[in-house]
Amino acid sequence: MIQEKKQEGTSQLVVFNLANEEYGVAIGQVQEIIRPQGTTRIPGMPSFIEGVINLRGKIIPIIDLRERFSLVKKESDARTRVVVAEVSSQTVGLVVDSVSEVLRLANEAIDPLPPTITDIDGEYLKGVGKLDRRLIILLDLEKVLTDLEKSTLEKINKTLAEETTSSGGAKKETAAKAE
Amino acid sequence: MTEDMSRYKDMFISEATEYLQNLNKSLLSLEKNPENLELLNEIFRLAHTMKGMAATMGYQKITTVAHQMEDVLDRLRQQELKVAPEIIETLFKALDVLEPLVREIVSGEDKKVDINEIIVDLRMIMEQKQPAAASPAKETEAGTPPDEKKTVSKEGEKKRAQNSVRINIEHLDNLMNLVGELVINKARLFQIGANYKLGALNESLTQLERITGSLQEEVLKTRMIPVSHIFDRYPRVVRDLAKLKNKEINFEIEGSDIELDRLIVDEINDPLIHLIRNSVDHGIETPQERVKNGKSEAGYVKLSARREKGYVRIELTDDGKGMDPQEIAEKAIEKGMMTREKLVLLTEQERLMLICEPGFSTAAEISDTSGRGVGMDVVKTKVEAFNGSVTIETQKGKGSTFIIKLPLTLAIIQSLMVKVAEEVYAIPLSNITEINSFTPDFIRTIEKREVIKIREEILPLLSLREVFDLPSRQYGEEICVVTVEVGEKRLGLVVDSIYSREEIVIKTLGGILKRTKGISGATILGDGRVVLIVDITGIM
Repeated sequence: MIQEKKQEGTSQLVVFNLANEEYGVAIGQVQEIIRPQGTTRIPGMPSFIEGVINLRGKIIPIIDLRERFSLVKKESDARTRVVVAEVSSQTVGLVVDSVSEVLRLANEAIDPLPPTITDIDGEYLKGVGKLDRRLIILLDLEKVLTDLEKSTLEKINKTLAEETTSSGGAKKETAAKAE
Repeated sequence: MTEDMSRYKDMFISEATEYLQNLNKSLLSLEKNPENLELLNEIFRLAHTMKGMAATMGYQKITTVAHQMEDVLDRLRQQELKVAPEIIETLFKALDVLEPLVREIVSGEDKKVDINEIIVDLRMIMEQKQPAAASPAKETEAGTPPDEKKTVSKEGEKKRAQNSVRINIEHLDNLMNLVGELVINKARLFQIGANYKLGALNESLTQLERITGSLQEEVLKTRMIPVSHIFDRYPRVVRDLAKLKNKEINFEIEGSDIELDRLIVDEINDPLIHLIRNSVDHGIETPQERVKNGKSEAGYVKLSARREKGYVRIELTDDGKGMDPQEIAEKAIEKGMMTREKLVLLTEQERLMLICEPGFSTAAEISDTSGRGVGMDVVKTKVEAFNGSVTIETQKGKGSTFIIKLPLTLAIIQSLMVKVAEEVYAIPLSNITEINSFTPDFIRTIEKREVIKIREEILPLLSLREVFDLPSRQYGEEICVVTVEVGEKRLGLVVDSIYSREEIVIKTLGGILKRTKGISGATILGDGRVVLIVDITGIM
């Protein structure tokens, strides 16, 4: 990956919109931005995983960020985009309402997060960037991804546990509980 | 270690492994032809290069051992020493020390392999006869090729070795992906050509189609390596074990140029070693026993590989004492793995296959080479993991043959596309035994499970709609049932309809999709769509 020469004390961000708020991710983590295409559903996955797509021969999962952040659902339209991010050697597509621009933000313009700014769990927020009157929420994609993985596993384990409870009788049930 | 060094480290490891293998091979030949000076030169060169590589990388122990070997070999090739069995034995020992040393680099941990003993042994050889000549001062001379005269075949072999490049399998996968994309995009262009009636475009696209076809084939070929990659190690295994067991064995290898997927070749090594050890240890009798039974003193073991329509067939034959299905069955009962009632139902082949059950061992005494009751089941599991199969042919008193069938490649499989609701899934053809359709009144229910009776056999049914959380539906006029099989287990999968049969390229799902239930991977169809592959073993 070609990295832009870093200017002292600034970060370059890809800015996208999600339910009337602006979010920014480090440009180094974004591989490309594509239009949504037909996904193949993966059974047994949590609802925020829309499915998989074929990106030039590579199969990547598509994650609905609105669903993940428990925001109101929205049908995809002409402005809907998929941000293809590569984080810790994993490639995923994130569905966002629209992508607006790439901008540079001085590090001084980034504030730590006030505790009650959004609905989203504070863990994967790096801070808030101020630009004129705009507020840009900075996402830590690495954290978003590890969190996704965690909740996916939780969901899978839950279904597995449910299955053993429903089919396996009392013995397996207690075993599952003991775990 | 800096990043650059670690890159060279990988290279060193793979090269050193290859050199060790070649050293083993050449030493074995030398043991048979001690007078062959050319072989000696070859071995010397190998040891010398190995020393040089290790020294550059700063691996002290390997350098020291290889250096001592080189000294001994140099004395041999200057004919100051005669090739004697003890010397060859010591050289083999040195290789056995080098091997763990190389492995130590792989694992990155210091296992404290002791090299002192072997160094002393090697020095002892040097001190035979003229101890004064034992100075390691032949560096400069050794650097030049000691013998320019080589046979033609040797020359050719050398050339081939130099013409190959090591590639990370990941790059090959990427190439595969890109070629696949090329094919898809070509299909789109075809469509445009048809829509706008552009004859000239279609013509050149036909040309492009041929090129992409050959390209795909070539890329697939790059994943293949000859089985000699592992076969070449076995003569040494047989030799050592035969010596240990005081047996005499003629070991023959056939078809080592047959090519297989690189991943399969690497994984099949352990199972094969296990089978070979079994043959030498349990199959072949002691010389006395053999003579008593009217056989030649030396046992015969043969390992062969050959191509068979989409498969590679590997056979290990010995002329040893063979196995008795009845004895095996009795043993299984004794161990509580079988009941007499069940046994009656088993065919001869099935009885033989009991040795592949976990916890089975026919060896009366447990030796350190085999007979721990682990092994045959591991062999079977491993081979089946690649969609391969193991069968046994045996005749009591005459010998046994183990037959392993393996697919040529892991990258491409034949599969059946089925429709379930609006979705398409791929089922590997190797798991499918038959496809039937029934009217709903054939379905019975046993313990809340739907079953169907085919030729007096009860086949449990499982609806793929249910497996994949799709809305269930009322059975229509006909039910389409795909019978799948894993080992002895069978299951009837209910699908909506059969879609097509295709050759598909398997792609594994990684990251957050790693643990998807009932799905073993995915593939991309000619039109660019992603289709999931049903994990038959997983849903059984």
